[in-house]
Amino acid sequence: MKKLFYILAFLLLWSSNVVHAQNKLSNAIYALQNKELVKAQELIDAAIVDPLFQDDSRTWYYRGVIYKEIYKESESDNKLSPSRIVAVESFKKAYEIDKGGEISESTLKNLKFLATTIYNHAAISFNPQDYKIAISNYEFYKDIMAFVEPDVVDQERDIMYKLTLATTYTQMASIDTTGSSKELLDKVRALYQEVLEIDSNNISANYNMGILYYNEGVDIVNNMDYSLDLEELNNIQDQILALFKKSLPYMKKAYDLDPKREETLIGLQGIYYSLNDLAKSEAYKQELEILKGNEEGE
Amino acid sequence: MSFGFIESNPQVDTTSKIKAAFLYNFTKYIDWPAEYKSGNFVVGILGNKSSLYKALYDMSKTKKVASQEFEIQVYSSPSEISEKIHILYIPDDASSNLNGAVQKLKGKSTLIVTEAPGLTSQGSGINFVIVANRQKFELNKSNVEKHNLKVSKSLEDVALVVK
Repeated sequence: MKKLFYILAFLLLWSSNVVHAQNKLSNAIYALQNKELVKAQELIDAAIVDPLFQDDSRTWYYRGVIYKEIYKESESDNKLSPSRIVAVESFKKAYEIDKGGEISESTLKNLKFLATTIYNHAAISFNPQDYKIAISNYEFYKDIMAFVEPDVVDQERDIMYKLTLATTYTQMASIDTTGSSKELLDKVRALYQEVLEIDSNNISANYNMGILYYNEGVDIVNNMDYSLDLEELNNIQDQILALFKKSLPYMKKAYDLDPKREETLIGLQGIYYSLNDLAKSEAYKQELEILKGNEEGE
Repeated sequence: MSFGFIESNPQVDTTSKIKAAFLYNFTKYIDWPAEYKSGNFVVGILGNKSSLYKALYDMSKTKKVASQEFEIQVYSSPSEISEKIHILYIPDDASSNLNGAVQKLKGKSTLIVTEAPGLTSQGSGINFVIVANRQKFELNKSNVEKHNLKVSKSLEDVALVVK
């Protein structure tokens, strides 16, 4: 009799715990439906630490939905929204538990939506002040997309990202007063190299790599003192010619890829002029003038 | 939304600054007579106001020849060349004026600098040439000395051709 009492007491306690926890989830969903996001957040955070429901994909899914709504409601201007991060983590957990069940499709849609907002926040952060946010958000975006679409490699977007980051570093180098410009330009060079490893026919990367080497030579001349002796002057010439020669194949490649691109013709004209090859410089100058004439005539 | 990126643009003349630095060096290795060591140190360019003018003008703001300040002048023809000028630079596209300049500068202590093949045989003292993409110079010592200028041995040592 006493044993039966203990069993009944245990069952009563267990079932009340289950009902209570079930209520937490149901109440959180109810609060969400009523747009009571603070209450929904409290309830779902309580449900998520309950051992009885930690392994329920629905708990994690609704946590994701609630935090997504909090992001939309009050953090959509925050490029590093903490609620968005929680939402992403929750949806990922829900998907892992669900293993292709009934909420998996909706979970992936939500993750895609959040990834898009993160990508957009990366895109508007490419400036010298916010570039670190741009980098972290783009990495976060890539991480989510690798989870959502593991078989898709979006090289085009990666290239655009690297080119934009390179431009940001170039801008930073041009206004740098801390002595970091060389380090920044090394990063720029590495980014263009990465783009060319993905797509050796990328015109922008070829053109800008050419410009990068060219500008390095120009900077040496611009910073040169007029009173260098003749031997030093010859050494300077050796240095800058090596850089101009390095820039040439990239600029030529950009030209081969699009011979009617004005910037490239100006680039080739400048490089050959600096290489003291005036005949070739003049030839590209003529080509540019013909091109401009044709454009005006159209 | 997509990323946006801009591209750099090359529009810089590097060769003129190199030439200006060479010209400044020539003032160290060539000795002008005493009467040319007072007043401004005049460098004239025959022809259009080329990019070299800008480089020389920039140089003139920071450099001197001993105590003489640089003065950069531009002439459209040999007849305009000043009476007292230390260096006359004749760009490639004005080479046809070399003979007129040589006539005009007879008996004057002016170093004539050119930049077209073969001009040291026509009266030029120093002629810029391009060798393996590098700016070099030929020296015609006797043409320089005809103008009562003394050439340092150091300049002969680094000149490409010495006549």
